[in-house]
Amino acid sequence: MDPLLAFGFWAFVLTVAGVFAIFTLGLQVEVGDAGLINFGHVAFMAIGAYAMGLALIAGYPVWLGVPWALICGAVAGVLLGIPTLRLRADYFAITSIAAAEIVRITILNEQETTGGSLGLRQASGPWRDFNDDVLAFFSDLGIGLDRRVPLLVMVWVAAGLVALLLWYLGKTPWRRVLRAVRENEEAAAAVGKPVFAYKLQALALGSAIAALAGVFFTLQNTTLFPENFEPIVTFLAFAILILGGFGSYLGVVVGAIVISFIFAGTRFLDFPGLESDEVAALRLVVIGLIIMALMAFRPQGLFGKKEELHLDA
Amino acid sequence: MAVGATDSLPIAAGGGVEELLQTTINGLASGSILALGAIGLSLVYGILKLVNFAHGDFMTLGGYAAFVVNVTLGLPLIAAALGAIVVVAVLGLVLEWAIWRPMRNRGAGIMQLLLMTIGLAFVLRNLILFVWGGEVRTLDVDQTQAWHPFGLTISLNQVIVITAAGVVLVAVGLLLKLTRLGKSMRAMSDNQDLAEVAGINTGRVITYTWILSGSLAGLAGMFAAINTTLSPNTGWFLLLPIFAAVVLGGIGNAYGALVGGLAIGLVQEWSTMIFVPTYKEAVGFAVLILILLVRPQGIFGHRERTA
Repeated sequence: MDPLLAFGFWAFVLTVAGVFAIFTLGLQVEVGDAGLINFGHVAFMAIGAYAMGLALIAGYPVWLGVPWALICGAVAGVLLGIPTLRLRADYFAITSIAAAEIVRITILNEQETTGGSLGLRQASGPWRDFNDDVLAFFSDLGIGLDRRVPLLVMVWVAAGLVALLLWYLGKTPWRRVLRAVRENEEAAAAVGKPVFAYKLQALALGSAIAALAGVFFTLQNTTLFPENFEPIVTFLAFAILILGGFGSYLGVVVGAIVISFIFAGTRFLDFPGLESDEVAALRLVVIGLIIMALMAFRPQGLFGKKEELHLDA
Repeated sequence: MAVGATDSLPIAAGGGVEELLQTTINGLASGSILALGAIGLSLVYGILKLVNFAHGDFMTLGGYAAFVVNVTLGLPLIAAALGAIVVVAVLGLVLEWAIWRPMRNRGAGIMQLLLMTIGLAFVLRNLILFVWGGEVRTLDVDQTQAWHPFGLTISLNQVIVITAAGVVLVAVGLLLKLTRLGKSMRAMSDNQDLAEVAGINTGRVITYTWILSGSLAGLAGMFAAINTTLSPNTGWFLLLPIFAAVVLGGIGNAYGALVGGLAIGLVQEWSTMIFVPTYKEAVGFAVLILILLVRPQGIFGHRERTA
């Protein structure tokens, strides 16, 4: 059967897209709203994913694991931000990617806790039970659901809630001040706004959202490897952000679906005359070209507004 | 964090000094590769305000150019070095003319260009993966040849890398110190406006900066392939330690990058005396973060140069 018509294919691609949408909404807060070019965003997804995985393995219920993972992410964001947020933008970018690599290398090395390169396995227990309960509930109603449906629905509901939260914050003075800080730090400081505190709050919020993406990553994969959290994940989120547009939440959703389809979806499609690893290489070439072309000709992205763009150090 | 040398590390009796010498040799080999990469990255960063995240992939391309000449065509390493230099230098020039100059003329900002280099890094790395596949390659050097003076282990690979890279680093140092071109480069990196007022032909200097940066990146990629192995990720994995070297030496400061590269290489290897070796990259990154926090202008930089 044509893979494009299979339900499993779309369930997979759209779940990946949902995880990336949440992950990139977190990045949108940092880059789009606060002007913080965070190249280490993936570290907070890793922290959320491993926090959730360890909680599930220890047998804690899902509803307890999620806030625990979010708190871990937010605290990690604060810990990164306190020493680094005073740095110039290019220095902050380099520092954040180095910090994220330290997190990944630590996960790789602390085998006794994380499983290291062997992976954190079977991080599903309470989640699997919950999923079974949901499926049983619907089959009692006479609706037979695919096993993957509850997660697919939940990840997009969560993405919607995060977008709603950010939209609501957008109407509050908090985000207006944040944008003022982004546009002109000195001016914001001159009128007495605690610039550093605002940036730190944005980083903590963005990191907690990244941790939520990590939670769903764990629920989808149930096995975690350190190489799932290499810097390329952050750069894919930047590709989504650039495609969708800085400052646009709708853009993030559209960008997440497009990039996930290119990145994750094309592995199921046959391209005549090409080996699967060649296709794997070419799809990242395509993503690279998209980033370059958009940055060159439409740096505000498809849905972004030019006046929201703030890319200068 | 796992502190303390693990039992599995072979530490000879009388340990301390020998271990220090051995890690120093390893550190000089990896450090000279980082230094070669860092000089070009730092000059481009300083002169063109381009934070080139594709620099590691320039190195990888140099490694594969050397692989084609040395293994596919069966020519000696000297020819491979020339191949690596020419391919990456030409790539640098082509990209300057096709992308970076037009973007600069349109007034692109530093972060906009930086994100473009990330796209470029994706393109280069995966084109390399497409062409050569993901297998781990080595160059045609006798992998078993090694000497054991005083209980140390010095491989032929390390001898080649340390001597050849040493010669190149001295030559580049002299070029920057003594020639008019080198002085122009350093002047431009220091203060673009002053350099232009002083009558330096900035367009010409930019061309030579890309030639130098590309040549050194190509050589660094080849030496990395000799020192360890070659895969499409070789240069990308070296990029962050190279950034650490650039920052340590002060951005735009070529001498600083040279010393910074050696220092990061040595610190990473020395750290294996205290931490398990798999943490050594993390040590390099920790040094990077510490330097940026404590002395963002780098060890050799002047405070007034930071924005």
